[in-house]
Amino acid sequence: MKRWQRICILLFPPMYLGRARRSEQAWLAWGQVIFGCYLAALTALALSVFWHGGRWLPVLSGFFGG
Amino acid sequence: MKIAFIRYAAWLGLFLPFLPYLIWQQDAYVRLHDTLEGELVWLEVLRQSGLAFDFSSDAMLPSILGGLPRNSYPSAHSLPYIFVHIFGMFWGYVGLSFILALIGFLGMRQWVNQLYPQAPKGLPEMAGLLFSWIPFFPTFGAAVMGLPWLWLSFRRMLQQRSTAIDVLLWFVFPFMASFIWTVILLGFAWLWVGLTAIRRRQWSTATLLSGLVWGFGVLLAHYPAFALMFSGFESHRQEYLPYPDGAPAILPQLQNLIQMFAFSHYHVGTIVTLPIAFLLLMVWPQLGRRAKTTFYVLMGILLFQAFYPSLEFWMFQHVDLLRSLRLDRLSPAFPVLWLFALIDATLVAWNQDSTRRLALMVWGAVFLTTGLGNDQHLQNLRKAIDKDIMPSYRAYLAEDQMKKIQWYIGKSPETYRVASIGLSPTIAQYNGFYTVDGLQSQYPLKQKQAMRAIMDAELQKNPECKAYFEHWGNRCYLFSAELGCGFDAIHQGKGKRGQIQSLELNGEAMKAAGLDYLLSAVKLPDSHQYQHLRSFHNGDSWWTIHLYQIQHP
Repeated sequence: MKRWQRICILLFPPMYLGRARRSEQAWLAWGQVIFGCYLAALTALALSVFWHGGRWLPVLSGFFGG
Repeated sequence: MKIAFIRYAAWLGLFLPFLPYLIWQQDAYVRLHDTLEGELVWLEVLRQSGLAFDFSSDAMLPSILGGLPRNSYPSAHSLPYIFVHIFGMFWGYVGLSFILALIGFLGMRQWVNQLYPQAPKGLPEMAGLLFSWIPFFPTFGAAVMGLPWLWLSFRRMLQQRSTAIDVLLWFVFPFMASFIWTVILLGFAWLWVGLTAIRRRQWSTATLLSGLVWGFGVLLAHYPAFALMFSGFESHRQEYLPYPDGAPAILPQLQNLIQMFAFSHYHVGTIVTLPIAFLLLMVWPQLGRRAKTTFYVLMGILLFQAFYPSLEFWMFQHVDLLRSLRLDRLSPAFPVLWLFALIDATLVAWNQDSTRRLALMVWGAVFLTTGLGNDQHLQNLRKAIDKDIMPSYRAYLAEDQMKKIQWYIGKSPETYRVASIGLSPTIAQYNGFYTVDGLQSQYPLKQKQAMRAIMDAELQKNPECKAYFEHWGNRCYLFSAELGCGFDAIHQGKGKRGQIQSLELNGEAMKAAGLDYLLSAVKLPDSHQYQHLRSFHNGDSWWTIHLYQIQHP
């Protein structure tokens, strides 16, 4: 794994909370778990915005002005 | 068996969003912004007027904004109008939406099949489905959904494989898509393709012909717009003032950049792009040259769009033509380019077991957010579980209620003029009233001045609305300072405030504009200028409409 990919994974919540070993497999496994959580949170946030602000869609950037 | 299931699911997914229209029909939700509030109703008004195919300069629509040239309306030689003309407004819209979704579905499927013959089975259909779910605006035609087909045509040109089909495609396309949302983007694309062909010295007859017939098609398809331009029509756009306070600030443009990066552009289809960006980041070193170029082009368009105000202000403000011609209309490329990027990244990720799962997660996230990020899907889903917050097509247009009001007034509609407060004037226009207000991209400057005179006191009380109306003014509505000029100004339906405390209108100006009645979705304060006649309730309608008669001095 390239260094920049490790850095990307480290940009997500800290890895040391788990028992990641410095092997390629562990990096990838934890990377996937964290990436998955991140995506799930992002998706949940987006869906929540859509649900509560549903009437505004697809006009997220303000109703008027275009 | 599994692959057959995925393909079957993709086709089912294409039809699924149209089920509410088949089951609930007019009780389903149809988008309001630039659809029921404007562009779609324009087509219906045009149909009712019988002037759709009359492009002469003296053809007038007397019922809109106190009288409007027919040529300020969209062309009748267009896919959206033809659907409305044949099937009526509701079924025309549903049919048009479906055909456009199908064009997008097949186009994206074809794109994947041609670019990646080795792609996993089922991926082309899933890509097509995802693309067809993007909340595009059917009233703008195939401006977004047609782009994969055009991209493939450009590719054939650069490979010198163009055929007569390409020439036909380029001729037909202008009749299928909005002028504003395609001409600038395709103009830049043609420039790129032309320069590339010159550089490679690879011109073919079919390429040249395609370019020529596209230009010719644009002139023919959008003839009314050109006719209006040269008719000496004095448009309200002469008062356009996009930058009243001097140079546009950088901070809002940065915000706009982030917002467009993360959500695309609302007029061409909201999509949540961050998962795609993350996947791209993970596989970036392995991406091919074309895929990287696609992403660079996307970023280039984003930067151009976001910082266009500064560019326009510093470079073009002294060129009169560019004052009314805005070049920041490249956003229809966003959804298609993001999806290309997603597919490019997915196919790289798919080759490694370790990243395959990431790709699947990203697809899941994008499917979820695109599916529910489409307001029509979302509102119909809300309705299905009895949590709807927006009016249905029938409730918004309030046909039955408006008929009762006309019957109550008891005069032929062409003998009096109305204005709307708290609801969009397109509702009155759709129902055959003659209005002094309306939403229009071109209307007479004198009508804007007449409307300003009526509500001048209200505009003075609300500087934001004053600037909004005076510097832009496409929404030529009767604004009240209390309701403002945002969403609340025209959505005073069920569950809203119900009344306003103060309203100052100019009696002389109302008389000069020939205004006789007010249709208000809120109760107005007592005044000697108008008299409350009756309030209309209707089970089918989202509105309670209070009818006021103007007491002319």
